[in-house]
Amino acid sequence: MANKGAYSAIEIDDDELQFQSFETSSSSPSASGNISSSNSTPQPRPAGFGTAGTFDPHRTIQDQTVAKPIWSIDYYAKFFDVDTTQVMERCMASIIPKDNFLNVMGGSPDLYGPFWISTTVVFVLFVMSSIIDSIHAYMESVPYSYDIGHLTFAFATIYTYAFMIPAMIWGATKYFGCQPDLLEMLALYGYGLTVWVPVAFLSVAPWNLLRWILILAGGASSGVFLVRNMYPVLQRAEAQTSKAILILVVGLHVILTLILKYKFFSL
Amino acid sequence: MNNSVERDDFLSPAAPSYAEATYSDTYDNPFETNIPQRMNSPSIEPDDVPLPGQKPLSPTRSPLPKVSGNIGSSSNAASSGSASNNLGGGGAGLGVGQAMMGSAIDTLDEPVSETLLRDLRNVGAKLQQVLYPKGRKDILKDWDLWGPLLMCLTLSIVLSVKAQADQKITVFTWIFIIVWMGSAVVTVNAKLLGGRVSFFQSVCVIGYCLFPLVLVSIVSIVVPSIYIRLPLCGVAFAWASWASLGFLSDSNLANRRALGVYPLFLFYFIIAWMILIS
Repeated sequence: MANKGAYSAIEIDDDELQFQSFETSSSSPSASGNISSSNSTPQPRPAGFGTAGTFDPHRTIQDQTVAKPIWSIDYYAKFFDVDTTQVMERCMASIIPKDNFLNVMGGSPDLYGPFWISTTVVFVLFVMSSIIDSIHAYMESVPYSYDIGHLTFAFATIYTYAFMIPAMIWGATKYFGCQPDLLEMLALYGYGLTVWVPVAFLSVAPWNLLRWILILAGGASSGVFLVRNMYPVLQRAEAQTSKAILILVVGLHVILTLILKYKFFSL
Repeated sequence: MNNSVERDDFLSPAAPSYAEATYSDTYDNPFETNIPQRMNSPSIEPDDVPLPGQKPLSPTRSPLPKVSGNIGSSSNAASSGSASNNLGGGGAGLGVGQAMMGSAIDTLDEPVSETLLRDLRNVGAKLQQVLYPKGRKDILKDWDLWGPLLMCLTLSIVLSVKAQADQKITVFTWIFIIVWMGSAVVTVNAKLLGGRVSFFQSVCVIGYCLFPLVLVSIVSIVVPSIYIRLPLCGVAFAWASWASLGFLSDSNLANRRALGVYPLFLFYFIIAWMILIS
């Protein structure tokens, strides 16, 4: 079988390398790496692995057959390819929106952040609202028992906002030709929720005015973060539709802010 | 050992070496290391399953020596592990880990109490390992899901008893969901980040490490004062996290350890919180 790529991958003789054309083996850099390390004679090599322009039909077919199936863990592992420092960087960048977030992400959005930040926000909202309720009950000298409905409500709201809304916006922008990236949408919305964690912590203080200020500040910060980073994508649609979608995004964000205030921080 | 015993001879009541021949050398498991031959010949199928056409075993042949649990130098935990495999294979739906496969014939005739006690002893041994993580770490590699189920049910029942009247069912549901889905999600997260953990082992460990929290929840049924509950919950949370970290720390996570460990903390924190405010 004239499958040059596979043959050169298996070939470990360093005397007789039958296939000298590294263009075919450049599509599997590890294989050519092995060959070059064991091969003592200098060989002509393309400028960089994987950058050779030669099209090797055998290699691409082979790559397709070893593509990870969509139900295996490995398929999704590429969305979790982040280190601790990267996640912390992205969280900080979302609270203090200095740079373009898509640059901060470096073109590789992850799903770790959105999922775990939204889960954290759910639990933090539940914990903080039960603290607030218990402080309120203590002030009124009433026996306190926690309300698990807060957890259910937080779960529903935050997960909808973190996953369903980005999917909807992605679908809408895709329909109108903005060429959005679903992962980037999810990452934007997910990391945008980070600000609610410190806001929730600080809003335990029993002064309503302070809570309003904090929540509006948090809502404004994450709203600005969202809009600034979605603007380039939205711009690619026509003027009317992009304005409409922008208003939709902002409106949903305002609704979220108000729901958080009235449901969790209102006593 | 009579190596040349025919299959027919195994099953005939007249075979003198019936019990011995069950564990003959002809059924060596290439993967077993130092398991006494007598005890655990790990064939996939026990030898006493009658072949088609053979007459089945008569259950009245009770003067067979009970070889489970007493013979051989393997530890109690190991033999319990193998026997609990039988229980798992015998019809319980829950999976049991890759322990040595004992032969069903020995456990078929024992009293039910012995069967249940063996599993309970196994669960107890694992709980001991969680509470006091010295000694063999391997004991948790032989995963089973009875322990986590026990922990989960106890926690759910205790916390739902203390909930408001119209929320008891919701609380039970939430604790159940949090424990099982939480363990699964933490494990899948570790796997996605590149760690090398086995799914069921990890779920088993996370479930067993709930034990300190379960103890505190039982204590807090009778103790409503927050000044006692807060330190107790804190200690239980720290203990549970430390115990499970000890097991899950040897998966290769490199720069992402914090990313893999944080969900574990979140998981135990939320459970500790629910115990605190119950």
